[in-house]
Amino acid sequence: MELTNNIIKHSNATEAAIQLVYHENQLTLVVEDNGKGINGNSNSGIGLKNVRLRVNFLNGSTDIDSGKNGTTIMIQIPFKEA
Amino acid sequence: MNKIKIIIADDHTLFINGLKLLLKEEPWIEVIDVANDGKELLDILTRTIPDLILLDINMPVLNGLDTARYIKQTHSAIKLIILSTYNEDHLVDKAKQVGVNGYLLKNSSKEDLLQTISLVMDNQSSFPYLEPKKENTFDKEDNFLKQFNLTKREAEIISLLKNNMTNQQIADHLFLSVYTVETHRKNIMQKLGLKTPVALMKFIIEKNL
Repeated sequence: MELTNNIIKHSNATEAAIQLVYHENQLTLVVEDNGKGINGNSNSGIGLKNVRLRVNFLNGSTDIDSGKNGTTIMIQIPFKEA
Repeated sequence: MNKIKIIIADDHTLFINGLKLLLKEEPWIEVIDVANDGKELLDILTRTIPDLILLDINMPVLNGLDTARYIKQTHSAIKLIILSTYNEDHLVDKAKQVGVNGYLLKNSSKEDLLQTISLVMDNQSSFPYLEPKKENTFDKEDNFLKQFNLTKREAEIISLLKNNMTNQQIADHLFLSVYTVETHRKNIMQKLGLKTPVALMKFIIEKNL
């Protein structure tokens, strides 16, 4: 998976948490690490761009909160209950 | 007003003398006798009964805690304040079990001592603040995290919410954006099965997190 790969390859993090939370009408994926953060250049890297594209395709949103104390990526994907 | 009659029990002569000098300045206090160990103190108690005893923990022959236990059984009206070098949880706990009224560290100020004496004579008790037992709290927290599948970050946010911090304050504190804090908060509420922020606060208070 792209995001976990990023953590392993680039972040220098010692801890990470990946969770998928089911809400009433949306799915929230939260990927956190305590690494060095994403710098401006890689923010527009192919990997993350791909993630955004795929999330957009599902009408979802991608939010990245990144700083020197770590990165939190939140992906929300709406769904309608069948 | 009657003076408070005090006996000092300590095996260090200089300490006793210093304490006597300090207390001499207080018109409402009278040091009526001193003892150098627990047994000597018990001997004195057969002749004269003080209102309060300042008791050292570490004394030869009969130590402070054993002496205190005996005095509390035989002269329950006498107030006891332990004066100790040790700020150790187990000693404070033991002193409480024995039934002493106060526990004061020897590095306390004169004001602390006088305040403790007043409190104790006013039928209150005075003990050093004990840090909550770390292991237990940790276990409790750990169970709680597992029970509700909360992540470390979410637990962190819960503890900040408990301090009445706003999303913005929590965000600043954790170097996160407000949006991230809000997302965590929504996830926490979903995991705990709570619908409103009020319900979340209530939950935190009730579970005493």
